[in-house]
Amino acid sequence: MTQASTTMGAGERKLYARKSSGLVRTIGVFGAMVFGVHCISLSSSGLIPFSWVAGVWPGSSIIGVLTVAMFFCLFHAYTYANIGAAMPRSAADYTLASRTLSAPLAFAASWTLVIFSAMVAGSLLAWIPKTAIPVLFRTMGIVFENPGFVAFADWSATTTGIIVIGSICAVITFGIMILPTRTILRTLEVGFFLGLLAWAILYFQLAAPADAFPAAWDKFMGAGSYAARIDLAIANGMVVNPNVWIMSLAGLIMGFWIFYGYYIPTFFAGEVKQAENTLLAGSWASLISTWAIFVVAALMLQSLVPLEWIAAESYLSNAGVADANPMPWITFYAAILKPSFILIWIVAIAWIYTLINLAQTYFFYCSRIIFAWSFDRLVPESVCYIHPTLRSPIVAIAIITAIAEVGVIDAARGSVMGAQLNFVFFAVCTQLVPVLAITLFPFTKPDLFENSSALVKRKIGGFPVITIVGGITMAYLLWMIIASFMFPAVGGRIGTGTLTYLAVFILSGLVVFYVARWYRMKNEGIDINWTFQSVPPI
Amino acid sequence: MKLGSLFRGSKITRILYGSDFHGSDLVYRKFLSAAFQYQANTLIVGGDVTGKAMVPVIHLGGGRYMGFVFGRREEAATIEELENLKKAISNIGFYPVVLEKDEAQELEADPQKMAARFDAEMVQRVREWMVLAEEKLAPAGKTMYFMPGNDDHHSIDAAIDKFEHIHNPDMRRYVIEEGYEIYGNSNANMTPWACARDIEEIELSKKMDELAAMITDPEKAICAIHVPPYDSGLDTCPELDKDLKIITLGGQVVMKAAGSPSVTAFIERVQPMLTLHGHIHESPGHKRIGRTLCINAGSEYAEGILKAAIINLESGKVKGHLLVSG
Repeated sequence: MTQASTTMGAGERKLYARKSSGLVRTIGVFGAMVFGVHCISLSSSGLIPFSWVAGVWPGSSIIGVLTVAMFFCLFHAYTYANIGAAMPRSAADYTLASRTLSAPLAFAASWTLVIFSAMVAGSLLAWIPKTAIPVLFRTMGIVFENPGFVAFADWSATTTGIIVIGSICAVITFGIMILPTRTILRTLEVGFFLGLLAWAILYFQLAAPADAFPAAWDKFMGAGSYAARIDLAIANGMVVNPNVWIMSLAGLIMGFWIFYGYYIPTFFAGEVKQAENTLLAGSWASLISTWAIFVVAALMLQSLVPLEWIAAESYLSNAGVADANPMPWITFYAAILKPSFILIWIVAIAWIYTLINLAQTYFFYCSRIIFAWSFDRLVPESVCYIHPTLRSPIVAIAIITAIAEVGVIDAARGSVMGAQLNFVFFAVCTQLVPVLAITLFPFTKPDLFENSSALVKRKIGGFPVITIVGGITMAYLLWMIIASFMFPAVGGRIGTGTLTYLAVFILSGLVVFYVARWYRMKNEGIDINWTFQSVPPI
Repeated sequence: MKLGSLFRGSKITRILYGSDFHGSDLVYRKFLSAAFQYQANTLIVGGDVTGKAMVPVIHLGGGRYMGFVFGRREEAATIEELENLKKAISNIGFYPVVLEKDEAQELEADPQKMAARFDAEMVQRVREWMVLAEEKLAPAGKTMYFMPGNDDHHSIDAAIDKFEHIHNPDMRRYVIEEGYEIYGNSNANMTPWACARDIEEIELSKKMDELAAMITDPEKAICAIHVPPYDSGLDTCPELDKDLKIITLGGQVVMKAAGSPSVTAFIERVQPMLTLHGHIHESPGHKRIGRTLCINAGSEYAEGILKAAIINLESGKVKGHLLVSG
């Protein structure tokens, strides 16, 4: 006999559900948020507002920049949540664009994104020896007067140090990513709480009397150092220009990099049920929560130090004034206020651990996208081989690791991926395709649009909201591309090399698509274009 | 290159396979349409064809009706609006049942009546689907092999058996063009929901033995086996706790294999040319076990998206396949 249950809501009958499989599947918003926070990264993104944003446009407000960026990223997040809700499956961006806009173009964009994502994963791993270890060990060396730590920090940042330590980190990431999924997820969960613990420690250290900072700084950096910082920066070319438009500009482009990752759950929307709610709430929650974490730190720091001073320290670092020994890191500011060996070590471990977590998320979403290509028969099935014991896609992970290693070496040599902001440029260029697809979705595929979830087919005055928000997001993306050329300091200094890389990868994606199509037609009698066609009901 | 030129002179048998429509009218109609779009003469449905829920559409009086679609309150004030509401409910796989308030109360108070109504709705929709398929497929010379799955009550079997171009391959053998043979099994090993055709692994093993005994030519055998082989990558689904809630770690769902070891053993032993599976919606893909190609087309019925597989057979081999969605 059928066992039925009645789902009631506010005195109204909603559903008579029978006992059958699969009705309970849903990923919580918290889950999507955790993944988004990991990909934003509490560690690397936590340093950037203080070490970079402040000095690129001296005088701009860190809190303002973070807020403006977060505001525009909300639109971008909305757009990507819609992409995931419209095509709730792995690599939703590629899937949507390939089925509604152009399959070759969508594949070429996705191909490029995966290659650059794997390379930037390597670049982020290289960031551990290039920045994270030097910052943390120099902090410990200065605070505890240990020259060994300082020497190690210096060696870590050399080309050899970056390649050696970065490669070790790549191997560690590979080793983690081929473990059973449960173990991988456990490492991410540990990292999430470690990251929060590190910020709790930083808050604790920053909670100092208003006049404590100058004395603490001078104690470790030399008498009179604090007072001379602003003049030294000005002498090296710093110009303070508190202009709200400049601040907004910084927010738009740098913020995208700071918060990059909040929309990542869209790449595995197939595993997210009730995608329309989960993706939007998860991405917004990760965006807002990281914004709040960074803003609280900025407020605490600014209660101790004038913004102009923070800008000067950041400027000295960005300008490469080595003699000044610049230390524009929030972790260092916190450490000198309450120099505790244990607390500094916990922060250091959490920072490095979460940076590996960050690379893991890139590996994770790249493998999901590769699987989506495999389903469409665009890449050989052997790429998605699952190891029988580990039950992990060991070949796909190995390929991503190999590309990541190229990213490590490239970053060590200061080449294209040396400036991580190049990745913003690459990512933005490839995102134009799926964002255009969702913007035009109500008009290119009206049947699918009308059958979409409530979020996707929401309208204002009869006009699709997603077209309006998608349009705003398109403008945001286009502005970031234009601004990358107009403001090289922020755009990662896009040059001929960068553009050549981009062109080569897009073209190679097109070549792979057409070769795969030709091969399947010739050998299997299958036209892979069929998979991109919609099927009207009879 | 023209696709047709590639086929000239070769004898390709094209199969369209889909599964787990779960009552979705829209997905089923797309499936039938896809047979024409992709020029497949043999259609195979791999089970779980009935819906999971009825949606009461309550008469509020004065010709106004109200029902919930995905938790959203929808109202209908005209006959046309009512039909549209019923269609929207049917498209996502549920059964709209138009009721007066007192009828609804009566139904809710009597589990047997509720069960009988469910049964009637499921059988009625399957019957409508069969009539539609016969009407569309027969003139084109296409044949559909329509098998129930573990979620489907046995009561629907009778509704499938009365048509010339529709057959239920559950524990039966059919021969199609070029001598290919179609077999099926609708059961699944026990799920947490103890569904209509769930059986213990030991019983499923016996069923697989029976099926194996029926197969005369494994090299030309196509087996529609609802549950996928264990740990094949075609059976990966979220792990549930004792309250049937999904377990998550680090922001990700913990996945587990939920297929059947008996099915794996059957495939390893018999080595049919092709096995077609469903059951685990979130695990579409393909896997080779020895010479056997195993395919799970997946399902996104609730989103109105057809997920299907096109399979080309030639000279006793699977020449190629493609998972499609639309």
